[in-house]
Amino acid sequence: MECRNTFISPGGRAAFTLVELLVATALSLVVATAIAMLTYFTSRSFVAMTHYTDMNQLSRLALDKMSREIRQARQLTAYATNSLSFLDLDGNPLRFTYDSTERTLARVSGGETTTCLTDCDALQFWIYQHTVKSNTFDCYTPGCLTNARVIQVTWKCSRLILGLEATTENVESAQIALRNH
Amino acid sequence: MTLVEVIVGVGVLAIMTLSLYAGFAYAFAEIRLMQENARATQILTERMELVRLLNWDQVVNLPGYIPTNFTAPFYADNPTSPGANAFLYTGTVLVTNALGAETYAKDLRMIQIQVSWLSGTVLRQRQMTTFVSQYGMQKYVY
Repeated sequence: MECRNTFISPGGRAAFTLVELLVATALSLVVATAIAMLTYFTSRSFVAMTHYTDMNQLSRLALDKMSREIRQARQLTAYATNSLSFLDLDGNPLRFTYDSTERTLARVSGGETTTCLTDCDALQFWIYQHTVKSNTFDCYTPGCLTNARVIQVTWKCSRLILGLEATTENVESAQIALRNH
Repeated sequence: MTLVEVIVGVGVLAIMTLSLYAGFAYAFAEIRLMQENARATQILTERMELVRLLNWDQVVNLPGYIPTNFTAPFYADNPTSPGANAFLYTGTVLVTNALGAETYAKDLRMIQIQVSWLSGTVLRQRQMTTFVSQYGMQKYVY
């Protein structure tokens, strides 16, 4: 009986050894992990940049609209840290209200409610007199609503990034003087 | 693969990786600068809004009524407890004669507000300028 080796032949094709295969697999895993992490953080950064730009644009638009109407308002009729009511240029009621549950700033005029701002985490109004204190840029606190001529508003908007806890934030702050007196 | 091929390959990969990260670092720095610029503009606009409330006496005849220096925080929402990256903007106010020989020069002043801050290691400055006149001041306050 003749016994022949069928697995190893001098003219056979070259192949990977087990060690080479293991090393190659490990290296591939490292490279794949690096690429995955790079892709993840790059996506996150792009989303954060997009959010920031978008929120900044929306905040400035909201502030521009609100500033214009407040400047033209005849007088302040009611005040709370999250709400301002005015008589507008035509003597009609105009109200800006922040809803912390909905995270929105709403404008109410003529029975119509429009949303000025969304994704708003915090918003606060302050009111001041028109008299500027000497050697500062601060104004006196008004004794009554009719003396309130300066409105300070600050808000902060944020959005989740890819549904995670990390957020993109945008803070807006402005002082607006009522000019229509 | 020869050793030379491996070295060239690693070199190209290193250059690509460094370029990528340099690009990211630049983009983040630009965004940070954009935020700082936006806040500087907010501060300048707020101060300018209050300048409109001043009368002519306060601008011209009461030296020191308008502060020549001020500070403002980067984080407007929580100035008393700022974050780790917080810093203060320092501002200066200049009230000066706007014109030279014009007949109405005595009735006109130029107010220039400037804020400066340290962005990383670079000192940056922004300024706004407005003119006020004795007979052209807003009448809605007084």
